[in-house]
Amino acid sequence: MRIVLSDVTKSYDGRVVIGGFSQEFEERSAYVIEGASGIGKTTLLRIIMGLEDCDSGTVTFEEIQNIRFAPVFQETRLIPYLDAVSNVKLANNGLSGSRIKEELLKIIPASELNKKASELSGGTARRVEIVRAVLSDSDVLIMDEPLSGLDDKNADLVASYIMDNIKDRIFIASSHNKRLCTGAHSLVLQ
Amino acid sequence: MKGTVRKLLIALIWLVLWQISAILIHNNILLAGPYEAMLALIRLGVTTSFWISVLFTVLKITLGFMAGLVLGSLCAAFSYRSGLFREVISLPVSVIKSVPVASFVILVLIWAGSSSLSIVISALVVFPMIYYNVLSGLNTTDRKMIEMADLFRFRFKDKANHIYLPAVIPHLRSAVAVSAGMAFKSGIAAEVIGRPLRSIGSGLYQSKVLLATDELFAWTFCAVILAFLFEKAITAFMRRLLAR
Repeated sequence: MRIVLSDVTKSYDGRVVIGGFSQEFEERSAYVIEGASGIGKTTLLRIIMGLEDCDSGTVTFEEIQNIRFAPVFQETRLIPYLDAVSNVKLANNGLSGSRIKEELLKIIPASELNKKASELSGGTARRVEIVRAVLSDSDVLIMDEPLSGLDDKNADLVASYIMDNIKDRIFIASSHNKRLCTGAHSLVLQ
Repeated sequence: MKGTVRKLLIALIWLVLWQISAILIHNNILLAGPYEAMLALIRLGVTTSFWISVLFTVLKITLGFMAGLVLGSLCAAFSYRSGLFREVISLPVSVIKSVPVASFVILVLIWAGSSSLSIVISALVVFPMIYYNVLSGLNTTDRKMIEMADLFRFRFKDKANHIYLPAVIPHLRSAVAVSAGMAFKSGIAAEVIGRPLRSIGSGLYQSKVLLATDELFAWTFCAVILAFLFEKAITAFMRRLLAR
C-alpha cells in the first residue's frame, strides 16, 4: 500500500496554502509534517483523508482498495456524554470493553476511565482519541498535533505508544514536537 | 405555598364573578354559571357514554399525534439526506401547514368519513411542525462530528444515536410540547364539524343543538383538562424515550 501525492495545490481566497506538494507515503512508516502554524499542515492532512479537495494535483492510493483512515483531529471530537471506553468502543465495535480498558490504561490514569469525555482535561481527551485511532481497524493513522497539550513526561509516553503501534500502517502526523520525529521521516512544509 | 394560595384565591374570585354574572343574566342558555356547569359535568360523568366518548377521542388523537410524529421525523430524515426529496416534499408540507384545518376536515369527511377524522386531522396538524423542527435540528448537527464518525465508520445506529439525535432532541422537545396541545384542540374542532359517534366533539355539538350551555361548559372543561394531561403525558413519554 502506498499513498502518492503529486503536485498538490490548495488556495483559500486567493492565498496559496499548499503550493505544489509531492510525496510518497509507504506502509510501516512514519511521517511527521513540520512547519510554522498556518502553513497548511491541517489542510494537507484533510486533503489526504479526502475531507477536502485540492485545486490541482492528485492524491492516489496504490495497491489498496477502500482505504480506511483513523484520524486524531486538531480539536477534541469525542461524544461528550460518554466515557473513554464507550468512545473508543464506538469506533471499534469488535473489541471488548476490557481490551479497550487495558489499552487506555497504558497512557491515561485509571481515575479518568469512568469520566464523561466532557469532564476530561484537554490532554487526557487527546490521549483517548489517540487510543481510539490506534486500536481501530485502519490502514492509515492521521494525527494533527497529537502531542499538543501534553507535558514532557506524557508526551514521551504517548509518542512511544504511537510509534510502537503503527504496525503495517502508514502514520502521518503534523507536529511541532520533536519527540515524534525520532524514527520518522520529517517533511517540512514551506 | 403562598403562591398557590394566591392563585387559588384569584381563581375563586373569577368563579364568583362568573356565578354572579350568571345569576344577574338569569338565562341558562346565554350563560350558565359554574354551579350549573359542575352539575352538568356530574350528570354527564355518571353515564358510560361520556367515558366512552372521552376514551375514543383521546385514543384517536393520540394515534394521529403519533402518526404525525413518526411521519414528520422520517420525512425530515429523508429531506436531510436528499436535496431532491426536500424540494419535492417542500410544497406539500407548506400546503399542509397553510391550508385551514376546516378545509381538511371537509376533505377527509368526503374521502374517509367521520370515524377516522380526528386521527387524520391531528396527524396533519402535527406533521409539518415536527418535520420543520426535526429538519432544522438535523441541520445543526456538528459537521466535525459527522466527519469523525464517517472516517471511523460508525454503525448507522451509533451515528444516529450519538451524532444526530443530540442535535435533534432540543428541537424535537419544543415541537412536541407545542404540537401536542394543537393536536388535541384541532382534533376536537374536527369532531365538532364531522360529529363521529362517541366523541367529545359530538358532545359539544349536541350541547349546541340542545342549547345546553351548562353541558357545553362541562365538555369544554373536560377537553381542557384532557389536553393538559395529554401534553404532560406526551412530554414525559418523550423525556423517557430520549433520556441519556
